[in-house]
Amino acid sequence: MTKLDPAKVFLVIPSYNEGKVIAHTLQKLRRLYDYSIVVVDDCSTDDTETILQEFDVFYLRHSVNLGQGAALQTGMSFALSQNAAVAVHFDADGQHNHEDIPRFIEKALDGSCDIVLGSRFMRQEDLEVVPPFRRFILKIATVVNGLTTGMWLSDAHNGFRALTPTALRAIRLRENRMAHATEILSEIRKNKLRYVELPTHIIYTEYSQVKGQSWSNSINILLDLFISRHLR
Amino acid sequence: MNPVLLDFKPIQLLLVVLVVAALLLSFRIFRNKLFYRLSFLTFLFAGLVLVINPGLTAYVATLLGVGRGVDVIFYMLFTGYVFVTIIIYRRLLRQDEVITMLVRDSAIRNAKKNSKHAEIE
Repeated sequence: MTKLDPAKVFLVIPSYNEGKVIAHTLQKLRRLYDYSIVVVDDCSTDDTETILQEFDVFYLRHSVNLGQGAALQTGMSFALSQNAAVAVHFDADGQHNHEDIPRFIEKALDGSCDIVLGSRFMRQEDLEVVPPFRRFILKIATVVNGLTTGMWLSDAHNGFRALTPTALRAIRLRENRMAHATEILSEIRKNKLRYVELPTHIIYTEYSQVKGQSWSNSINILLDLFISRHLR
Repeated sequence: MNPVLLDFKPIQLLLVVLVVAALLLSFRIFRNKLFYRLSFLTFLFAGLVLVINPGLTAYVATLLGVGRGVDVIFYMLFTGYVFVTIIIYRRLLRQDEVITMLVRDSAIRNAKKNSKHAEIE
């Protein structure tokens, strides 16, 4: 394989009022990698924009707040327009482990798949850090995802993914809010994309816990999916 | 003078005025939407007939096997309300999609490369 130009790797980081933590995440990434970083600011009301001026990143801003799914789609469309060789979904709050990035990119580029999905349920050491109640909810979510999309995976709502241009072109997220995680699965299935799961380590901090998904949110996601399927 | 007009109750006069006003306004609202326009006109026209001749509702009620005329009106209004809500909600979803597209387009167009060398080429 010829050497990959790191600028052709696009890390897509949706961000909404993550000013407190995004600097730390970007410092770590910038210290280690020369990848292109796309921050999609979903109309944050904090000082995200000012903070990002210090960093070598592409800065895209939604003029109204649309939701994380919309921000991801904007980042993916941008990556595609810049001829990305691969795009990686990465969280602003640092709960994703940057050490996993090269492994995911390598897998995405080896020609065996169109999209690489992260899973916390493949290695004991990744699973150990997931709080027990969270584990339980995620397992239920995998069943719900399986039943609604036909995609039976080991993990659900894991935001760490690597996409090839084929996947970038095929996937069109219409769910602006949180239902996009399930929608991506439907899109994979609909477009017959080849996918593979790789183990990934999620770092649970207090900050990400608070921002994580609650029960009421899960029900909202189901309703969003129902509406998008039957009312559009 | 027409004997029917003499029988008019104040509420009937008020309703006739409101329905006619709604009729006039609807011409402006549903421009270029023949189906909506016709259904709305039919709806208002039926309303007008029922205001002028309330006894008609009782007749329709017995035809449909409903006890009272008021109930017929209630059922129809409820059904209509559900349909209208769904139609408007669908429009709202479509509009959201359009807004999303516009916002996305502008975000990508105005992408900035943050670093010492300002704008992207």
